[in-house]
Amino acid sequence: MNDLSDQKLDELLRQNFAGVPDHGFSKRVLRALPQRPSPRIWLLPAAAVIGGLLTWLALLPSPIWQAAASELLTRDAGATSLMLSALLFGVSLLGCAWALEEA
Amino acid sequence: MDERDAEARIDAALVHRALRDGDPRVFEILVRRHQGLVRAQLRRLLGDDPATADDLAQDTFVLAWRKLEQFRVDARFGTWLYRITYTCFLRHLRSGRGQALDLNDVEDAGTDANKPELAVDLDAALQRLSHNQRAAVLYCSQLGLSHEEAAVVLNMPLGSVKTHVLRGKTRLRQLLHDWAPNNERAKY
Repeated sequence: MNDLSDQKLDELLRQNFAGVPDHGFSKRVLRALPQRPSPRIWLLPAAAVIGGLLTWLALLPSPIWQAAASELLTRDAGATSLMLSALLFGVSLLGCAWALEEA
Repeated sequence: MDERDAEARIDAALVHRALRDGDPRVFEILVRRHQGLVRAQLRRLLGDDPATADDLAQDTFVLAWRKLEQFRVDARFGTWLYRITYTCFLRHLRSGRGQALDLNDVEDAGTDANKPELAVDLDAALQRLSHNQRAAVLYCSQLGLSHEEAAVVLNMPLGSVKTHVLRGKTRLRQLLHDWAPNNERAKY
């Protein structure tokens, strides 16, 4: 049955397949293209600020702020202020990651 | 570097410019470079319905424009675009607007005295393959993709692609032989 070799069949298939001439198709596509959304670069700083604010609000009832403030006033950065800074930084970072994903 | 690599690098540079400048005219160059094969493959997949094929080709390019930043430079733009093309084709079929190929339309193709050309027989034979076989033969044999690239485009395991190509070709040989029993095609 197989008088049509694999190579010949491939050749035949390739010969039988040709691209379609443009005839204005590209222009038609160009007209249909929507505007590309501009990158939302404002999202990044906004997310950092919102992240910081949320952390501040979440910890507002906690005495941790007073402890951190007294450490800063005495210019002796202890564990509390360091932990608070790390927390603020971490939440801001998460906000930035979200913003980058969205943008 | 072979010709395909050179073409891929040109495509990657064009994508980079289109993304950087957001300029549709740069994207138009990409459309011009690829529209011929995208439209041809959709015509094949749809069973030669040029109007629907062109609508789907337009959808393909609009989707590619929207998703352009998802294109990875280490991939070939052509392969990425063909994957979108095939996705648009499948979406069209699932929407119910696409008609399943009616085998009865081509049942008599081999005995039609008005269609003696081998190319016509081959077209009809291709229509008689299953969806997956036709798509696998189209991408591997007609468009020259590797089995691995075709597996990406068709979103199929590599083994399935190889099987579909093999079965598709066997079926094609059988159909072409059946339609030429007295055998003008013995030279093939």
